[in-house]
Parts: sequence; structure tokens; C-alpha cells
Amino acid sequence: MIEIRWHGRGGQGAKTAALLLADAAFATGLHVQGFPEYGPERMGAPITAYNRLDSKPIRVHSNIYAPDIVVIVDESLIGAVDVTAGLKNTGSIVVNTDRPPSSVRELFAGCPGAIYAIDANEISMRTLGKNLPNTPLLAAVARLTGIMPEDEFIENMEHSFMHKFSTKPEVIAGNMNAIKEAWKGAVLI
Amino acid sequence: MSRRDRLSGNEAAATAIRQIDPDVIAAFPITPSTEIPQYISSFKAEGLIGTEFVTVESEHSAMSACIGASAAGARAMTATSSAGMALMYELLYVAASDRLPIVMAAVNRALSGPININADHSDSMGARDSGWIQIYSENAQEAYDNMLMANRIAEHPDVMLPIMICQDGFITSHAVENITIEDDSFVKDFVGEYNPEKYLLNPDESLGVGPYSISIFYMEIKRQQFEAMNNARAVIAKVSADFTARTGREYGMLEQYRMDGAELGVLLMSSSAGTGKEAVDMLREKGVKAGLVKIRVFRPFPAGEIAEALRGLKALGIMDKSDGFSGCGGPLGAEVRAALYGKSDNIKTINYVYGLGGRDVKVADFEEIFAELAAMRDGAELPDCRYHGVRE
Amino acid sequence: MIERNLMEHMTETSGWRDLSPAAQVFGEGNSIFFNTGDWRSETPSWNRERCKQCLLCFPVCPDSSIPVSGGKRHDFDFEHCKGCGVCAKTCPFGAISMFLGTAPAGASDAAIAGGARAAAAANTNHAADKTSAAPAAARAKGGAK
Repeated sequence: MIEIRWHGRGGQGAKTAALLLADAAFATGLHVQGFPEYGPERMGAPITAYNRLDSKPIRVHSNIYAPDIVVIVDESLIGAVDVTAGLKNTGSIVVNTDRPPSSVRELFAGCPGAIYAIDANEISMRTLGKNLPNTPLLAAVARLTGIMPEDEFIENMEHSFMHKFSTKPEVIAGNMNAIKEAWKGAVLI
Repeated sequence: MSRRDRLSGNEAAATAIRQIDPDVIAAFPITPSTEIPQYISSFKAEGLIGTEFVTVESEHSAMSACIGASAAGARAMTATSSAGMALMYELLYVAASDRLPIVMAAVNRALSGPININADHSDSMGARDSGWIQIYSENAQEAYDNMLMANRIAEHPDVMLPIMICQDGFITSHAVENITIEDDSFVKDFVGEYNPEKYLLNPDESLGVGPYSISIFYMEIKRQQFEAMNNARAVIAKVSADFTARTGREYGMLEQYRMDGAELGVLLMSSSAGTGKEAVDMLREKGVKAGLVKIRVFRPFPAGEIAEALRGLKALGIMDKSDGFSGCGGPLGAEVRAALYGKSDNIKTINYVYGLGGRDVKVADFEEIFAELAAMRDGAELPDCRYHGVRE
Repeated sequence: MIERNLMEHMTETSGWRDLSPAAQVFGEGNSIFFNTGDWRSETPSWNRERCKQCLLCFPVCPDSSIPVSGGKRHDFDFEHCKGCGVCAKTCPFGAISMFLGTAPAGASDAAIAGGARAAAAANTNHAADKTSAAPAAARAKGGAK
């Protein structure tokens, strides 16, 4: 089982990203869970969302305390929230940051695993014209989990976006560009 | 042909309702069940259902509208949670005593206060004596399947009682999971038409529903209700067996998980049962004789099945996701102990109140509980009831 | 109006199996079969000469015991009149008066419907039990106030 914990702020789309990842993993035949931190929605408040992906049926219904992957949608959460709490020694971090790669690892002292940095804000601004870092991060996480190859993922996301944005199709192309750029854009620190 | 899908618990319940296509739905939005009437209004707008969707101004009115519709002869449904269900309480009794087979998708949420929108069972446990059949679901699949079985149980001539299909707010209602969805045609065939024997809108036969009843009649009418609730046992068994035969998914009054040779057991309902099963597997690997019993049907209460399932245990943790404030434990604790009395008096029991107001319940919580049960088995003195997962 | 009391077999001695489910009432308007006339301890008397047929009385009768047809009221339905006296209070012309007792004023035994007669007899006994005043029979014949 792969357990993923998303850290974001209310309104940044961490929950949507978790649900889209669940969608993509589901399409590959996996058993999935995608769920937000349960509570009132408060714009800007630190929130968490979760994914479990497994080849077997998933029975656990708790939050995730020992994740395989931590995704940090908003760099300003580091320090404010213990984003790496319980992260497995072999676990990975995906962080949205514009820091130079050389100064990313120092953000996560004591984390021996792989760290992937991606400037999701920049990709989002360029491709979507606004700051919605969840879509680029989703692509980075999908690549990291290895749930499906690039072309399959892109096709899958296009399908999801067409469904999700059926009432505002003008945003689909931007989101698809964000996905494509971000697939390649994550840097292993 | 069934199909594989991924849905949240609310989506699952709404999908079942769409496939059942009831005559009337009256509902008022309340977190976390809001999505269910929301989906239904979309289905209605898209012409996917022929249901009369009544957007009432409160849950009191929602249940009143359901009562009126059901008495008129319609198949009526609603969805609610927490304070919404509490606002229905008066009418829940009316629905049950008027013997109206209304189906409710109940998404369990704590009652105030402090005000809280997360899961526990205090809402439906408060309605446990209202005369409704209560079925609890562990996950989205069970929420869906139980909804498909609800009408046939409630509308059976031997029963004619309202039924609530419960699932845990947010934990299952808002979590997307894999699920098997049956064909619309399968559901139509399985659920069937509702043809009540007597109903208000029958032009050939006039009828009065819900009369005043003086003392010389009231008790006989309650005795009928007692009979109907007892009859529900056989009907639930029959409908569940038919469902199993057609889908392969098994349902009984309760579910036993690794109870063979178990010495330590927990008994609980709904979403935490899955987490508990994971813990039982881990403990079994370590050689701990752990087992789990999940109550599916809480009303009618399966006292006999419970006593049978727990026989052989040395220590039992009865887990209540609500505190009845009796001062000596929750409702499950009281009723399970009563079920054991005189049958399995040698089982040491402790009643845990846990998971209130959405307090997360982890595999580690079960490990702690099983460790306490082991200590109790080995002679440790523990209180009859205690809160688990609370800061001291 | 229904011809047969569908609830007939359900009585105060019926067991729970023999009562209708949830006390449902079968058939419309079956209160006609429930003779409340025997609850009466005072009885109204209608003075046809004084009555202007204004019809203010019949709507206030809680037991629909003032039959109306052809735009006119008729004499009381004593099988169902409970003797509450609301009609007498309402009448602006003093055309309705109440008197103690159960039998309609001036009505011969033969004129009283069978049910009401039996009820009247029963009520006479009840009245006698409840009061130590003049014998019930005498009161019943006491005439209009």
C-alpha cells in the first residue's frame, strides 16, 4: 500500500488533487481511497488530504500517520505544520518551491528519503494564468508513484478534466499544459 | 452486469436512490449528508429520476412530508444527519407507529455541543427507541448495498416499518473508495414495485391514518409494532440472502471477523470496523487470539446472534461511538451486556466510548485496546466503562 | 356515507392481532356508527315557531347533529347529539332551549329512535348515580327551562 498525505491550505485544491490522483490510480485497476481532512472548509487554514493506493481492498478508515509520500502544496506550511510527521524512512517528499535545488534539503532536516522539488506556482501561473499549484503537483506525484506511464496519465487526466470542468471547458487546455510540464518538471534533490 | 467504480459514501447512497427512483424525496441539507439531496436535485434536473423532490424548510417538515407521502401510498425517502435528525425525532416516532416504510440515508454526525460536524453515532443512537429499523454500514459499498436492501425490508407486509441506513459522516460519506455498482435494471428488479395494501390515495377504499388512540387501544398498537420489529429479523435475513445470492456480497445481522478461537474481541459498528480488522490481522500474526464482531443491524437488536458470536471469548471490548450519559457507558455497552447476561457471564467486558466528534480511530487504538483486553483476561482490574482516545 | 361499519369487529376487547395496523381507520364517515347520544345529560329542544331558519346553529354543532337539507334545518339527530348546548347559546331567537334529562322534549318513546332510547335509558341510570337531586325520571320530564 502507498499512503500519501497532502498538506495545503484551504482553497489550494489539495483535496481535489487527492481525488484526481485516486481517479487515475483507480483507472489502472488499483484499490484507492481519496479523502480530505474532515472538517469545515476555511480558506487559507492548513488542511490535509489523503490517498491510499493498494492492489488489495483497503479497509483502514483513519487518517495517515506514517505516509510513504508527503506532498507540500504550500511551502509556507513548513515549520507551521509538522509536514513530515511520521514520514517513513524510505518515504519521499514532493514540495512546491521556487528555491534553488541546493537549498531545498535543508528545509527537511532529518528526512533521509528522496525529495522532489517543483515550482508548481510558476507552472500554474504560466499555463493557467493563476496560482493553482495542485494540478502540477498532481502530475509530479503521479510520476513518483509510478501508477501509470506518462501518456496514459495525460489521457486519463484529460478525461477527468473534461468531466470536472464540463461547465468551463476553457480551463481544460491550461490544466493539460500544466500536467504535461509538471510531469517533467520535478527535480530530484 | 455490475461495474467497478470509485465513489464517496454520499455518492454511493445517492446512486442507490437514483436507481430506486422513489416517488417522493423530501430533504433539507445538513452536513455531512447535504450532498445526497444535492445529487438528487441534479438527477431530477437531468431527468434521470421521476421523483417528486420536495425542498422543505426544515427536517421536521422533511419527515412530515415523507409521512404524508408514504401514507398516501408513495415510496418516500429522505437523508439527514445530526441536528437534522434530532429535529425529526417527534416525526420519527410518528413514521414508525403509523407503520410507514420510509427509507432514510442517515449520515452519522455528532450532536452539539460543542458544535461539531464530524462523525459519531449520537444522532441515530438518540433515535434508537423510535421504532425505526437501523442498519449501519462500514464503507461506501455497504452504504450502497444496504440502501438497495432497505425498501424490501421496510415495505415487507410483515414489517411495514421505516428504516435508516447509517454511514459515518466524512469518514465514509466524503471518502472516495472502490465500489461495485449494480446495473439500473438489476436494482429495479431487486427492489421491485411498492404496492401497499392500504393507502390514502386509493379511490376505491377510504382510509384514516394516524388517529388518536385512547388507553384502551394504545398498548395493543405498540404490541403490533413490537411484532413488526421482531418480524424484521426474518425479513432482513431473507432479503440479505437474496442479495448475497445475486451479488456475492454477504450480509447478516452481524459480521464475525476471525472469531474462530478468539479469546479477545472487540464489538463495534460502522467505519472503524475496517480499521479494527486490520489491527486483528496484525495481532493474529503476532499470535494474539484477537477477533472482531461488527453489528450491522442494530434495530432489531440481534441479541441472540451476539451472544452466540461472542461465546468463547475471555475478554470483550464493546465500543460505543456515542456516550449515552447513563454514567455507566454507551448504548451498545448496555445492550450487548444485556444480551450476554445469563448466556456468557464468564466473558469479562469493558465498554469503550471512542471516536466522538470525529476523533480519529487508528489501527494503533485497537492495538492499545487489545492490550488492555489481554490484561483484563489475565486478571487486571479495569473499570466497566472508559473513554478511549481522550487526553487525560 | 358508508353503509357498513368496517371497524365493527374492532372493539375494546379485541386483541392486538384483531385491531387494524397502526390503528388505521377503514371507511369514511364511520363516526355515524358511534352513537354519542348516550353521553347526553341535557337535551336541546327546537321550537319550530320561533326558528327563522337563519342556520347559525348547525355549523357550531361539534357533532353534526343538526341535519340540514333543502336549505332548512330539521330536528336534532338525538343519536349523536351530546347535549353540549352550543346551539342554544348561538341561536339569536331563543328557538333552542336546553332541559335537564336525556329524552327529547315531547317525544313519545315510539318517536325516539331505537338506539337513542336505549341510550336514554342507560343515561338515566348514570345521571341517577351522579346526583342525589330529584329522581332522574322526573328531571327528564322537567320540560324546557
